[in-house]
Amino acid sequence: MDSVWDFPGQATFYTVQTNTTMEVTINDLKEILANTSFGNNAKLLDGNDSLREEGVDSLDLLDFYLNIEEHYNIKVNDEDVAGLLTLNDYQKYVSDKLTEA
Amino acid sequence: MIGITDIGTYIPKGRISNLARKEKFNSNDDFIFHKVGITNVAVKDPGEDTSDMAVKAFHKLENKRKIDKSLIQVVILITQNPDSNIPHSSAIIHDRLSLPESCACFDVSLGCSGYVYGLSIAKSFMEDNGFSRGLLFTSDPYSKIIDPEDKNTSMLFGDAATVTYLTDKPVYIPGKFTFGTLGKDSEMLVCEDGKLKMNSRGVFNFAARYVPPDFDMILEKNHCDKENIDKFIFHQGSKYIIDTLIKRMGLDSEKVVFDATEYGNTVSSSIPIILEKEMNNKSNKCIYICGFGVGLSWSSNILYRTD
Repeated sequence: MDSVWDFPGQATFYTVQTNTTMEVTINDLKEILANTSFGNNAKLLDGNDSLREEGVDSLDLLDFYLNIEEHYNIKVNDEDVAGLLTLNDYQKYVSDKLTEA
Repeated sequence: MIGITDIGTYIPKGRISNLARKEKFNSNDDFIFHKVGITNVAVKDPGEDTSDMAVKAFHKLENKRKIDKSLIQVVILITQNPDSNIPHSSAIIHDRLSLPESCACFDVSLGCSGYVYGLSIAKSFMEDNGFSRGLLFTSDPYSKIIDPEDKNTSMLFGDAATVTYLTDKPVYIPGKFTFGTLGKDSEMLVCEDGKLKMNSRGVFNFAARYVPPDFDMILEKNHCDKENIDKFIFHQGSKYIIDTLIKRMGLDSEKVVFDATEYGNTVSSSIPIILEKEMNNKSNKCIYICGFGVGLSWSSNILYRTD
């Protein structure tokens, strides 16, 4: 690992049941968010809910970004996070990143 | 063999309350108590300097045990906020404690990883030179460089100083160490124009990604199993990072200490403050310590009790 921003390609510290084609679903993202201290409240979210308004705090988000990076082997750029407000936003963002890869 | 015989701690009386600042920083009780985990940060008196705090830590140590200062052979100070650039602050401490002229003194510029690095430096310096009495100080008052308007840092960092008395009659002996540096990401924690700036996400990612594999390495180096460790003392960055490490490392949370609630992240002092409380606890035979932070730098060790 050369940098904290480099994803090392190592196994994540948890498992998420996803389909094998790496399609990004809202349910997958909910499960990834549930692995932060926000917990199972994540499973009650709709795709259009504002995460901050639903109580996801700044530290939960740090963990969420990291978990997404490790799970999907992508980088969540600092300059992009301001525009990621809902799970739908994350779904599109991660899907676009996977398409670029 | 050189190891830890005792520790003295000085935490200033002054406090700045995070709860009192929650409106200012758009925060709430739940976030402060359960995520940051720090309700108050300790702050030194404006008239106190780095060496003053270190000397006070030594006086606290002297209150517990008689120390013949004429036998002290080395003083090492871990700090990145010395009294001044020149002279080194350990020399000022030398003067204040009236230590012998034969005593070696030097400062080591490290932050949150500094205590663990310092133990290795002190132990090897003493053993290589046939020394039997040394003092390892940590004193790094970040209040000198904290921007009080910066929520990221002002709610975390507190002031404190410690001194570890190292002798050839130790209570805890360090095992093998690990060390690491990620200089490419040093910009995550910098002091610019006299003010600390921290990229919280970068520092969080660093700790979450690098500490767990380093833990595997320290176990391997020391031929130790996770289950044999009685206590885990991480650098007290925040409650959230320690909770994250507990989860990622699969630790028993009962064995992991979070102690910084009432005084904050005291940089290189955070581990020895907790370790002092273990000195009389004979039930903890094996203690893991891990410092990580500015640099980005990390170091870990397993301490073994001798009695």
